Amino acid sequence: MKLRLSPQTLIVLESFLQEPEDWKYGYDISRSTGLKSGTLYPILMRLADRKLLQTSWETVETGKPPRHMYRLTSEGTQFARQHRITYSGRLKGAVFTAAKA
Amino acid sequence: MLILRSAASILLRVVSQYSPTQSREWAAATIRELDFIESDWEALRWAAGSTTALVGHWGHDMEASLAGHLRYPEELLMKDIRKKTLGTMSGIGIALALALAAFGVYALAVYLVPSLHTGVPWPAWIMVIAVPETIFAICVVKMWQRKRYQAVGILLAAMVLATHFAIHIAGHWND
Repeated sequence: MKLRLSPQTLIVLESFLQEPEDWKYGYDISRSTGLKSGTLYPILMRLADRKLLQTSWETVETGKPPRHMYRLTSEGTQFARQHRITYSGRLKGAVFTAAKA
Repeated sequence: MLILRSAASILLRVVSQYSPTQSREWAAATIRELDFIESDWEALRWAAGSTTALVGHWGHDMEASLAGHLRYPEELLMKDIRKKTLGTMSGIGIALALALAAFGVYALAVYLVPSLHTGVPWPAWIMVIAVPETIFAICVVKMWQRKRYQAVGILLAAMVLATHFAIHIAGHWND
């Protein structure tokens, strides 16, 4: 199934591309992109379903439940870079809209 | 404001409990993030949004599961879909009828005793939310084994009502 490249998906991909090697947490992505959880998680789920995003559990503190974190796969990084170039004009508009909101 | 954070946590834990196996990982992820959100309001909004995302993911899973059934003979598949759809829709219908009846009783009570409608609307919350949600929960537990799809319909309606209520409260808390 084809991935729907909404402006929000491009924003999420762009945020991963800032530091492609680093793992990121859901709430941190939400804050950095300005996307609400109801918008962010479906995007993360779709990216993970298509093997563009890898997920992992990290134990932050002993005795506390682990935290879910995300990073683009090599395929995902390639995909994000490819669409970053293709959709660069559209993405600028999307970021501007999100920042205004 | 501990009540808001508790409500957020309870909402996500209930969603997680009833999530299909494929969605549990995501449900657990959203619950864990609550610990890192400082504002209670933000936590409640996070929970409401995550609930919407998780319920949407269930729909996607159901669609995928339905697509997997396509290798069955067409007639059997249609019969199965009809049975499940009718069961679920009748469950939603029962739940809606009960919720409307509760709302009607409350509206009548306000008409007879207008003072019920002043201040914090506890009577409304009890009549229109707490009582129906309790009945829904009992029905789902009782019907789960024998009338699974009706129970699913009731559960869906109960979750929509609870989410609507949480969003309504979040939006009007300072009014």
